[in-house]
Amino acid sequence: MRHSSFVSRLVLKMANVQLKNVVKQFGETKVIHGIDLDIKSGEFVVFVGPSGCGKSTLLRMIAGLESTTSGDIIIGEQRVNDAPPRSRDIAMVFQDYALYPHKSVYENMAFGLRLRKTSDDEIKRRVGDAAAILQIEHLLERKPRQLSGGQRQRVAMGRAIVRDPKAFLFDEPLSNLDAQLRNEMRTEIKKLHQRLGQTIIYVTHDQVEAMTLADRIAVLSAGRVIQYASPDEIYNRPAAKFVAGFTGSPSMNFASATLSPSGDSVRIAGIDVTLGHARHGSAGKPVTFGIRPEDITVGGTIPARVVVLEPLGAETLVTLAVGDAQSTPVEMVTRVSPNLNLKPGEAITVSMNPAKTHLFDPTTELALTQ
Amino acid sequence: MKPSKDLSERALGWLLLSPVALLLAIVVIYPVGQLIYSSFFTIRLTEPWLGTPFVGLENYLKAWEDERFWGALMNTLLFIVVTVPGSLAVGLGLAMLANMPFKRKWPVRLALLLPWALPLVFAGLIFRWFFDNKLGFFNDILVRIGIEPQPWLTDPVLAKIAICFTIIWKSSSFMALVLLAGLQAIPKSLYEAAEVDGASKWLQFKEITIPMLMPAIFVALIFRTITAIQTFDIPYAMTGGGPGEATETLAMYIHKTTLDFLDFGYGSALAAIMFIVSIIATSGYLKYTQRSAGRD
Repeated sequence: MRHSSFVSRLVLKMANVQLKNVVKQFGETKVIHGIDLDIKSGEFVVFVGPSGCGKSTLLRMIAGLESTTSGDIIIGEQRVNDAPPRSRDIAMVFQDYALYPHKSVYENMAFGLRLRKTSDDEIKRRVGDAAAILQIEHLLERKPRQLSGGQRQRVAMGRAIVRDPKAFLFDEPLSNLDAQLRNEMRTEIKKLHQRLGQTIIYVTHDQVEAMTLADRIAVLSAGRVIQYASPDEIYNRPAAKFVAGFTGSPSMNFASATLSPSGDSVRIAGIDVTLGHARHGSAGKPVTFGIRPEDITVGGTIPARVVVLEPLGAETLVTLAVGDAQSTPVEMVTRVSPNLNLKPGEAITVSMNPAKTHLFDPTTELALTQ
Repeated sequence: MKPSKDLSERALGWLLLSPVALLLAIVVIYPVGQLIYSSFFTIRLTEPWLGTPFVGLENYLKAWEDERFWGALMNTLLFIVVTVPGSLAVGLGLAMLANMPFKRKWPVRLALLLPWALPLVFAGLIFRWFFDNKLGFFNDILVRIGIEPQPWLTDPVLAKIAICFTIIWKSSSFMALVLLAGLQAIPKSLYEAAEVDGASKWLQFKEITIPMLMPAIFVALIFRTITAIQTFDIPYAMTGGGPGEATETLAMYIHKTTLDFLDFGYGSALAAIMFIVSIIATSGYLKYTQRSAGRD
């Protein structure tokens, strides 16, 4: 009961976030190149991309910690470009948690509320509610240095949720945790979003985090959004080679190929691979072919040789040299059952699922769909 | 096997510590011991026929009844009470200025370092000229704005003000350097979190900078207080302790007693008293820091 009243109070306040042609320049250097994004109220959006792609800068611009060179940042219905962070009604969880070391957990969580002149009774109730949700009630009197990494992470989230903000911003919050704790906290964050239904913007360089947490993912590269879509869309219909290569582990296999005159197959290392649908627009031209490891199966008509085996227990990653005897083979990775008992050097045949093949323009690296 | 290994490791430990221990014994323990020992004797080089008889606590009792000693002690305490917080406040301001994101940091840091690098006596001489009654910089300003020139170094109250001003100017840069190191250790994300939480710049200073800077402040205060207790060079160069004995500090009185009056027994007793005052003052700070560390 206690949680549900807290949650219903929060749901009333969440807001959408819009970025319209947002640009950020440091001196002469442009780091964000006119980004447009529409984040719906209650949506969990992840900004993902490699280091230096501008994802954290974009998040800090939404928070007001970085100025915006041009464009509009709208939270709710309000343009907030010139508003300081404290007037934007957002809460942020930092990569290093940024807990105040000299304050107790309770005081850390209460600080933002005190500054907003919330009554002591209300502060006590809200901190109590948030602590109960995050299971940190027993830690309220401790100082941050007396907490483990995971506990600090929870406190940082608690400090954000007691504020009942319009949106939560997470800046790589799990990157300081070990692998096991990271997985646990990832689940916790997902649960928290399901329970609170708040608007969350989350920055990470970890594509697994992005895929598992997001309602929608914005994949960034060099200050531009390359694709903004659901995890399913990003994985199965990547808009560019960069997106295809960034998602999935191991990532998509790529090979230089030539599209047939009819546009319905490609020639790679002397073999023809059938496509799911024809690309008449690029017929006869060189293309970059892509296929995910799980879409290559052992058995079929395509000749291949086993190069390396990497057993992972439940499955084995196999690096194959694909191609006929007259051509230079292309290395591709596939996942197979460990029961297949393949040996390095063994000659096998494979098949590639035509429906799951991808083609990219070798120059622009954009997906070829027509 | 194990006890002998422990023993040899302990012996090695002592062996490694022994050079430092020996050095400390030579430069600290022996002189301090000799000083305290001398304070129980009459050693007046001006009256050699008296010999060096053991007089017990007589030198200390003499200090108790010596008005000049109490005057010097009070002046020293005044300089401590005024210049320690004064240089902390100015030093904190300078440190925060130096910590600001200037494109060129070195001019600020150089300006910060210069007063510290200047020898104390030089600073005293420079400010003696600044506060000179006829040729001084400060009186020149006063005259330009239509105020009567002031007898800075010949009036007992003004001389104390002039000395305090100079000491604060000289010692603030050291305070600023220690505090700057402390400021730079505060993660930027704490300020950002506070900004998102809704804290104004003043609240960020009060709620983050000051509490996070406390360890550095204590270190700076300990060092500054010890040097304030030993105040000598600046008043010596500016006023020579005058007018009369109005700005004479304990260190100056000890210097006069031993080197001018050649009364080594009494001078040793006065120096021992100053040593005790130093220990009391610094142990007070240390006790506070230990208590606050324990509270964390």
